Amino acid sequence: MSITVNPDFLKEIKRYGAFDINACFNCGNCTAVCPLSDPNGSFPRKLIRLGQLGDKERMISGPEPWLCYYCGECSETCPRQAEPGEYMAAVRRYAIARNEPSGIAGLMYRSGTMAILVTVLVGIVLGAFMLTQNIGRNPSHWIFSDVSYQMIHYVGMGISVLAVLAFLGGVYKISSRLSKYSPSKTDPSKRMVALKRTIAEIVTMSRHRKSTPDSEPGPWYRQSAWIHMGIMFGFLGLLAATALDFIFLELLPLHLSVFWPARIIGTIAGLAMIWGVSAAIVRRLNHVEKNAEHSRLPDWWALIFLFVIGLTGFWLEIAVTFGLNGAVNNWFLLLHVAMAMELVLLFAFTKMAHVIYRPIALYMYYLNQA
Amino acid sequence: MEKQDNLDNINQPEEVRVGVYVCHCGGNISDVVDTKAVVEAASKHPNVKIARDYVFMCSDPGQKLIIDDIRENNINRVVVSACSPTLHETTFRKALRRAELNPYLYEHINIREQDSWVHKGDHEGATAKAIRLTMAGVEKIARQDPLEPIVVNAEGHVVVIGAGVAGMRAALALSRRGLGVTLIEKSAQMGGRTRELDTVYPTEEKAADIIAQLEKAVRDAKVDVRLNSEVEAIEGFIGNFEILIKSADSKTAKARAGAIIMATGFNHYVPYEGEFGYRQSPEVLTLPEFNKLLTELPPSQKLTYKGREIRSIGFIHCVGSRQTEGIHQPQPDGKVNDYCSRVCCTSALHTIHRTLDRFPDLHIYDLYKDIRTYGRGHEDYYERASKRGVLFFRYTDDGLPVFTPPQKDKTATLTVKDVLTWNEEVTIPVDMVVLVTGMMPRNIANLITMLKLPIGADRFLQEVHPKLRPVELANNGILVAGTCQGPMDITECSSAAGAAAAKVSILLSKDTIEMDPFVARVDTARCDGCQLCLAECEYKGALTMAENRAKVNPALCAGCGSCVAVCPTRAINVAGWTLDQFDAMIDAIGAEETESELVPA
Repeated sequence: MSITVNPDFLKEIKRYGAFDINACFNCGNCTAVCPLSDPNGSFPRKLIRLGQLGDKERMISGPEPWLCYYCGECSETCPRQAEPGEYMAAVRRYAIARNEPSGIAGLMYRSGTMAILVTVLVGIVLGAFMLTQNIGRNPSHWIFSDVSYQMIHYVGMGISVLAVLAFLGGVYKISSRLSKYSPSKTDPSKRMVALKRTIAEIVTMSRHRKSTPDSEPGPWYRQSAWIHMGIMFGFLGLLAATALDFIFLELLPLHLSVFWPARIIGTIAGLAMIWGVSAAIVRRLNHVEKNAEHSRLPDWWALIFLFVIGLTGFWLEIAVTFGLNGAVNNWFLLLHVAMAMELVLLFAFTKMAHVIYRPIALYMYYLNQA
Repeated sequence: MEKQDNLDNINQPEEVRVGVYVCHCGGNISDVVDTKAVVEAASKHPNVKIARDYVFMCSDPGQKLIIDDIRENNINRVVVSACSPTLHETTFRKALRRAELNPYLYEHINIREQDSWVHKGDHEGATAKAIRLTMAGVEKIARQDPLEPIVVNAEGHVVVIGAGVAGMRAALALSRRGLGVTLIEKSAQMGGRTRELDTVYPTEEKAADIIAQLEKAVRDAKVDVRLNSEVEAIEGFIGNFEILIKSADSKTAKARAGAIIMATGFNHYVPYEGEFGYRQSPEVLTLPEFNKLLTELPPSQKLTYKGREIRSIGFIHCVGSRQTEGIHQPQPDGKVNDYCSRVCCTSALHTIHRTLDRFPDLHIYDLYKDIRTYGRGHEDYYERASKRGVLFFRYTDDGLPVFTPPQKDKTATLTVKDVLTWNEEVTIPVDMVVLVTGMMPRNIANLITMLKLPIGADRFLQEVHPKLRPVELANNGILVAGTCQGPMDITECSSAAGAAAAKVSILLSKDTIEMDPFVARVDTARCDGCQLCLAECEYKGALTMAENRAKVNPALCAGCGSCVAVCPTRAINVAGWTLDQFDAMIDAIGAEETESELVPA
């Protein structure tokens, strides 16, 4: 299979970051120092070469972009300051853009203005919709006097359906891409092994920790792998709490105490997430996270959203618990709900999309290895 | 003893009294070799009157030991077992001269580089070897006649052949040293190949400016410049060459010279028809052709060639260089150019930058074997090329690039098995291909035959030693400067020319030239005039016949010994290295184990 050179692609990938990648002279130091690269998933050099030649399909059709956690060792070692780590991030941004059909993700990644515009617009539409529609405005509680519980409920379900569709779309897209370059026949036992290893990896984050540079300062709670775990389990916990709330309060005619079980899970998960998100933001602002120096707005998007959602969530919990009735709290509820819905709605168009792509890539990688 | 009998053959009015001096070299030798054992073994030889060891023979007190022994103990032959003769042979010869002994009655034995340094783990063996080498030295020097250096007249004038950058620089330097210079140039103008260039790396100066400056300096220095002229004949020897110069209008002139500098330059490799599409497809050019195109192109926004717009160019390195037998087409002499032409990597990158300066949107592809941007500032051209978007591909002999000419609606392509893409086949669409051609020596077969100049396997003129005598040819008084010696860039040509000029300045600094007397010598009593030696001699004029006997011109003889090997009557010998001396040395080295060697070190 001969590759035909397409010299214009480098210009395109540079719109997603990777400004310095021209300087690469293919020495392979990056791959040599990478703690995660191996013959089954060799990067960054191979991906850089494919980008230079303009073979964009093959570049995003392997698991490699998602095997990297951007520890930055490669960029530190690069003799030409070509920033291979940043290139890997650009490839992931490009892959996210290419894996959703609307073109919104690409637009948001290539232009900061567009990212802000889309975010604000979607937020306003969601908020305005919920404020202006009069379905079931029969406040069971003062907090729902402006935005009704029913409203939140129905919009939430709608958003969830859309998000599930987007999720499935993403799964389909990346699976069909990756399957082109994966072994066609594998016996079920190998699939099980790969699946187990993928789940184990998601739970333990061992590859992420393996790629943490030895120079990483501070105790565990300031290290990126643990912080990531806080955010991830916090997010999953909140998702579970919401689902439980829905099941117990809506589907089953049980009227349990507010403290059990969704509130407790939600509180713990919310604390974990708040810690994770705050620590991550602090790391980025303090430039501990070198890899964030060139990050785009959609890379910050999830952190900012989770931070605001978490903060307003706790504010509201306090307000409800102590009966702090006031207009401000109603507005906070609107902000909280609108942002939470937007987060779920847009997750396939931002860095959040890695939630889909990384596990599937890991599975393919383990399958090839098995 | 048998060896004693041999000594009778030599005219020696006096008794042979050898002094042997074994140097410790501050431990370099004595840490491995038992120097006392060497002294003891040497002193057993009947001709050795004194044997000593000392910590540093080359030091002043060390040399004084020898001088005192010559003066006070009537030592008349000296052997020093120490370092390499390259280092200190001259030092000890001078010491002998200070003690009023003929400096050639001296033998330098190397027991450091050839013994202690290479046999560190075997003290006993090293000591035994030192003894044998030293004894061979004793046997040799015992058979040595006093010799006198060969002295010839030195003409204070130099002929430089070729007025490229190297020739001009050499001429200028010599002229500034006060020597007369004749600069012979075949073409109508000075400047050589540099004239073909626009700007030059690494300074980005205009080549024309460099030539103009040099030309003015050469004219101001009153160098006798002979344009449109060629060398018709060269006679004579070091210090006394006679050169017949023929100009284009068939006029001849003579020049006398003490030395000759060869600065005859190079030719571009010319690809054969069909080599990467050359001369079959109009879009395939060589680097010199492309440079010319670029220089002569009128100012424009687009690069057009033969009416077509050029949007992408592929450069192929190593065309005519680093070739492999069986893969590349050989030259008429049956050999491929297996050498690296060195300058073409940076030269091609320099041209790429020139191209991008004018046409920044061009896509440039660079297909190389290795990038050898070795000189100061050269790597910068490579690094900047990457940063400006030049895309590099690496090929090997297993996957040479293949050129496919344009089809109806398709551009031409280069297909290459690219090492950087894990040996996958990559197809590159290109509008133009530039072949980065290497260097070959100019055709100077007439001079090579005329002077019997030594050439290497690469057909370039070959120096005596790349490090020790880098600008001298084996022919005494003939030096090399620039690309006639091998591929080099303008910077290196200038250095080489300076070195050659400096060597000539030293050579011609006095009215006479002294040379080592190690040249052939004929025993007319033994010579029967068979002329076998004449057929064997590589050096023109070194051996002639006179009165039916072989006759040596010491100034032309290189002392190579070819004549000695063919002489059926042992009538011809190289002074200082006679067959008798060799026989005796071999006997000494191959002698049965001596008692001293059996004593543990």
